[in-house]
Amino acid sequence: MHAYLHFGVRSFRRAITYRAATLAGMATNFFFGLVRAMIFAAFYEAAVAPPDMPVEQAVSYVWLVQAILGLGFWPFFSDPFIADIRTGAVAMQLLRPVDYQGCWFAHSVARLLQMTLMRGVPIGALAMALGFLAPPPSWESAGLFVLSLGAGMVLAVALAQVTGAIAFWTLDATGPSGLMSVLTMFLSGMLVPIALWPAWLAEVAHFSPFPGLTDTPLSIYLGRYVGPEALGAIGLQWLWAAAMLLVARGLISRGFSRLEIQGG
Amino acid sequence: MRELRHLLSVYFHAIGVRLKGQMQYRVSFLTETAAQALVTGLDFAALAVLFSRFSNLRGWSLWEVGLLYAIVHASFSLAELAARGFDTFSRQVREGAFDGSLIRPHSPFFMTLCSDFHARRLGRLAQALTVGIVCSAKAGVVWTPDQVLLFIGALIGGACFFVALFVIGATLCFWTVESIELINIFTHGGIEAANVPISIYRTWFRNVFVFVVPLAWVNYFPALHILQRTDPLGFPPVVQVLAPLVGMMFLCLARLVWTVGVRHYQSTGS
Repeated sequence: MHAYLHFGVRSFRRAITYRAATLAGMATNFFFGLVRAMIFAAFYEAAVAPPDMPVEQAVSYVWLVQAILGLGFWPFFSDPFIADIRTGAVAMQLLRPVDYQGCWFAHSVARLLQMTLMRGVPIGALAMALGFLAPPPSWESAGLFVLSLGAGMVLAVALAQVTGAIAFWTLDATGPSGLMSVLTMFLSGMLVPIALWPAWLAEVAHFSPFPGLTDTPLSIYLGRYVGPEALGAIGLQWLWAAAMLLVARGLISRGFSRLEIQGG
Repeated sequence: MRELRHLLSVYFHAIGVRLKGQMQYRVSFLTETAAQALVTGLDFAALAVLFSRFSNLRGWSLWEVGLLYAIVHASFSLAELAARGFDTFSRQVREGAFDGSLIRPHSPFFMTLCSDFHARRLGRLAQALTVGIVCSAKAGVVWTPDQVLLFIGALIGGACFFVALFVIGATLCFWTVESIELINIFTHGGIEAANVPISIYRTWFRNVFVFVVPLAWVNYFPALHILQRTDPLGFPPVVQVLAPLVGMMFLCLARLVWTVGVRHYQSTGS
């Protein structure tokens, strides 16, 4: 356990070194927040029957998406563990006295934590200070939001591992990762809150793990899910996360059993 | 004239070589092109979902908005196809590869233009043009020759606009070495903003895209003319027809900034 913790801390430190990149990324996220908030506000002007999500909640949702963007998105890109599979460096992992999936997990969670803390918290705080983002309606909602966000991180890493493990067969996971990020971006509710979707499409999303990456934590933050409903939603996130981690484990062990390292 | 023809032949030769290289991993190339088309199609899907819930966007229908979407996405993919070298320029500066461009028989600007060709963006281009054709039909656009000409002009002007942004971003690398990616606010952020009519934004924000970073000229104004809509912002109608030229002027300006930057260049020596 200690080894994985140590590994995670190292990944976290490496990630916080690139401050200029973080700042530029934050500025871009902030800009997207401004644009999307204005678009949603303009759409709401023409609401025939007001949707059950009021405009203030939709705008808060948009800003929260910019703050926790990394969750639905980041784990799929530039993952050094996936690159290792292509280059053959993954063979080194087999020599180590620690579990491969465990190291990968520690590394990815650390990166996500860095993203959320260093990008998300300042963006959220700034949006709140400027009055764009409303605080959670109660302390209970705030606490449950943090729990749900944690579950969402584990789920995000699990999904990225399932996708990345495909590289054991295809060597290059860019294509699968790209397709997976399409599914994620749409079905997680990153682009449009699920509350505003047509009913049949929302139904489809709720049978998938993806809402757990964005829509679930944000609905809890906004107080749309409270009490037992919120706890149930968090339980579902963990269930999906556990299932995906098991699938990834199966894929990785099968991948290793047929692994051929290309020389050179 | 002969010189121009020579430059063009060098450019297309360079592109041909890159294209051949990128086609070597055929499966990877095809899946990535498809993924490109799908990812960028998501923005349109999101708009469609919103229009299914709300009847209109300040009087614009989904199909009319779709034309704006198509113009900005097609312009951007053309820019990335043709001038990706400027978009990934920071690597050349960091690794010292730009030194090579300085001793070639062509200008460093031209050499950088030839240095990369992003064939996978064809997926995005195909997707954007499909959306444009379907949406303009649904919106009842009558494609007279001058409308078609204005549409093509908007695409070229838009491509020039995005290439200009890449060039400005690349020029910044002469000072910062690292890519600071601040220009992404205007490239990716600009695409996001121009997906919908620029008239819905607050005045200060809109003015940035009309007067500072002239994105509205290669997207919103020509689309108004193609859709035969009156401009709520009250610009004279002649603006709509001449607008794409602004994109080309913006590129000329960027070219000047680049020349200043090249003079400032100091190799990292690596």
